[in-house]
Amino acid sequence: MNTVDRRRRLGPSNAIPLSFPSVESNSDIENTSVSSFNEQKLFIQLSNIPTATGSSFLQLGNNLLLASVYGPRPSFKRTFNSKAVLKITFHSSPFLSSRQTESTFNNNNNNNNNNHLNSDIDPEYQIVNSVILSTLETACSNLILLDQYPKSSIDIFVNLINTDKSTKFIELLSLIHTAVNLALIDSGISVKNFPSSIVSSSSSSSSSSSSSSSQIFINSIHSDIYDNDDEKDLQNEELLTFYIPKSTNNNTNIKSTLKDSIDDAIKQSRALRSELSQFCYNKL
Amino acid sequence: MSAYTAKQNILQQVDGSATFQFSTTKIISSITGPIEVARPRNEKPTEAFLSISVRPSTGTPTTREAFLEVKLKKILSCMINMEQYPLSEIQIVVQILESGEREQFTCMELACAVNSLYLALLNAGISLKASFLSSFCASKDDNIIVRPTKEELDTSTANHLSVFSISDGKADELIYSDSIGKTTETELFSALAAISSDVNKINETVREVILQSVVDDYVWKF
Amino acid sequence: MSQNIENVQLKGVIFSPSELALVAPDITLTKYIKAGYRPSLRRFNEFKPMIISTAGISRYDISLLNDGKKINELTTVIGSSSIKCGGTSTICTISAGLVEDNFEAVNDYRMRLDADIIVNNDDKNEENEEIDNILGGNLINKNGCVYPVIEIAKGTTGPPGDEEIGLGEKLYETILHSGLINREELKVDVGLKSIDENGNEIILRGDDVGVIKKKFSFVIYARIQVFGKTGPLFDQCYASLVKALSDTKLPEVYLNERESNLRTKSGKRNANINIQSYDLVCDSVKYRKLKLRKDRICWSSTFGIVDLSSLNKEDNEGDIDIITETEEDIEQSILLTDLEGEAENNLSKRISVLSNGEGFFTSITIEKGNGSRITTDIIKQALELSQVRAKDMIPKF
Repeated sequence: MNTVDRRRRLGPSNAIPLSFPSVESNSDIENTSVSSFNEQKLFIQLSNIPTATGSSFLQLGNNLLLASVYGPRPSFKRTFNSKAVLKITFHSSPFLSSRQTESTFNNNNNNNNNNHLNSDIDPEYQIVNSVILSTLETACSNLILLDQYPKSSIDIFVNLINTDKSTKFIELLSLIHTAVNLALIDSGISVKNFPSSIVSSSSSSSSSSSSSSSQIFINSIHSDIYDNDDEKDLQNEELLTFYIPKSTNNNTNIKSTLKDSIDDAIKQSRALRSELSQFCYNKL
Repeated sequence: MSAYTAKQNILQQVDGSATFQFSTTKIISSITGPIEVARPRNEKPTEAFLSISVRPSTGTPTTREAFLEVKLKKILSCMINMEQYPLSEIQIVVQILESGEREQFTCMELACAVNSLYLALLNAGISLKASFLSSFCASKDDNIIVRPTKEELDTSTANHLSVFSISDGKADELIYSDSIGKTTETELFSALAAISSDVNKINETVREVILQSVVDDYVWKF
Repeated sequence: MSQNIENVQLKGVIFSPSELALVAPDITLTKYIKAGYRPSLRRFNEFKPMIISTAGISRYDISLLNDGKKINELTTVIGSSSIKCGGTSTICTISAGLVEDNFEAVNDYRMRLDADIIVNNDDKNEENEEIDNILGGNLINKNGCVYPVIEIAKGTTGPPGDEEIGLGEKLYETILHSGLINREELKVDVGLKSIDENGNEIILRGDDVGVIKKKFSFVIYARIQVFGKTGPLFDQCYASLVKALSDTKLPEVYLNERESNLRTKSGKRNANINIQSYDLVCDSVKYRKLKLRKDRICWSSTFGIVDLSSLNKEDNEGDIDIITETEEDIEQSILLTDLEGEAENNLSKRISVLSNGEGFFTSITIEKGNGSRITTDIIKQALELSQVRAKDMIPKF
């Protein structure tokens, strides 16, 4: 097979990528200091790409993300579509590849990093493109009122510009969803309600020992029904998508903790949502 | 200065073809058209669509050839009377037979391709706004070497390529010029002057080639 | 049927300015130019402000997260830049690879043919001469290059289009021929990691390392992402690449001792030696800055040229306003800086200049396009203007 990329100038094919051994020192300090992921300051910029319908730029620590929404544009497919076709693309910088399982830039020779280095990556930190795409697709198709845009297509692009070793995959996932949510809000495309996504760790629950393993990610909106009582109103939340990482120590009472942690997550999600909607309101 | 040869009407299955050779660089190009547009989305209502493909002497086309295609398109689209062929396509194929320069340079191949395309377009009977020819030079220590050899190009500090239109047998208008490497304003203008006088020289031979192929055609017909 | 034709009346259609800009961008442009302004409300030779900064996302940028670490271990990005110019933003990231010298070029079959090595494979002892030959004589042997990949966000997926390829090739060509990077600067001083008598890790270099006969060089990759394109992009891409290169830090490289005794069949005939077996490892902390040749740092300016006289004629045909000075046939070409918007982007008559602000140029491209004759005056004017701009902008790198 001819593996030469004819559309990109990639340099000599026999070049070997840089491989850096990890620094062993300070690793203990690091683990203790990153617990406050949700407490870090989030930088948001909206409408930073004028050619896109909506776009958002997010920075949280070393994590830099850019989401852009194009459309609704007329779709020239021969078949008739009664609702908009949604297409989501996730790009991450090819130079970040050491943490990825499925590379979108397989033809890029910068990327054939030594695979043996990948094997010993903590699954909590491994970036899984398929999870990102499937959760994004579920969330967006539940969120956007696709029926309002027949015969058209909406394209969503997410660019992961930078991330670091201390950000867990699930935390990155929630950032990606936040970026897409904000870009959609910015685009003015009809959505059901104001979405917000959050990672919640149920450390407040009784089993405090396994706090790291029981994290849950949800992306949700408020449903049409409202309740005056705050506690009861938690029932009126509509989940767009959620993700629970495979936990290493299987809890026996997972079903009971799941409800608690979702309630917990919804509370946090609503707190974030009120801040985000305030932010977007001020932008208007 | 390297020698050059040219020949028209080489291929039988296309509308026009020609070879052009600058000592070590040899290119054959063919023109098919105006024909029906192959892909509907390329169809332009007011002008012709140029589909240009450059094939390297060895291997498959890379970004280098794609860039040559972009440059050729810029040059040709302002020399062909594009408005005369609306809704149609002109297929242009440039096959590099001998590259004659290193992979890092393109000026020899581009100049050679432009000249061979001029002959091929004439041969195909495509309407042109003007005649045009191209040449190149290299500069080293304030010296201008017109049509340098491969080795001279390697040791030069800059190289210049220009395309001139021809009017009354003389280089007339500057159509395209590309200079890369460390150069100055005075060097650029002296290079342009050197190239235009070289184009005049090439034109004398090229005219004879065209005359010859017209004569050959007539012999065949009567 | 002929009666019908007589009854046909031609009605004037009136477009609002925004509609006209969509329907006939060229007419709108002429109207603006006559008024002395451009659609962006800039003056003809007014440049667009450009904000140049490092993006701070390379490995060696001190982490924003205060986690006690000085480097971001996850990325192999060793230089970065971010540029904002109007609505267009550009992010450039630099990474690198290692390649064995006199191997990089030989591996390419086409270059082997060019360099005639396949034919004259017998004279093996003239190694240096041969390297010169392969790498392309004096000039190319002295200049390093960068392999750029450009991505323009258009809201579609697919392989790079003609524009992206063109930009990438032009960047490659100009960096290589301008001699911005000294090839020597890319050579790797491979060290040997070992453990001394006291059990401390030491790194041997130079003469202490007898084993390493092969020479290695860095290959530099660049990835440029462009968001929100409004006009020609080369100026911005070049600026972001140079800025990122000036931010680039090359890691120190050493050989793991355990691996260094590995014997491979060397010699030029066996081009497929597996160099991975050398196990070259980069030092995760130590680095040196990539030095650029200061006098070769240029600023790129692309000018579009509008011919007023030729546009005047067009204006007469489909006109709405009354034109007063149509009789005058002044051949006037106007140089527009930093093209923006559809109408200006459609101008095919262009001059693109890379100037270092001190009288030198590393690339000049002149395209006549569909305009009138290109005069010496307009070329001189463009060169001069680009120098002024370069003087202003180069200190910002």
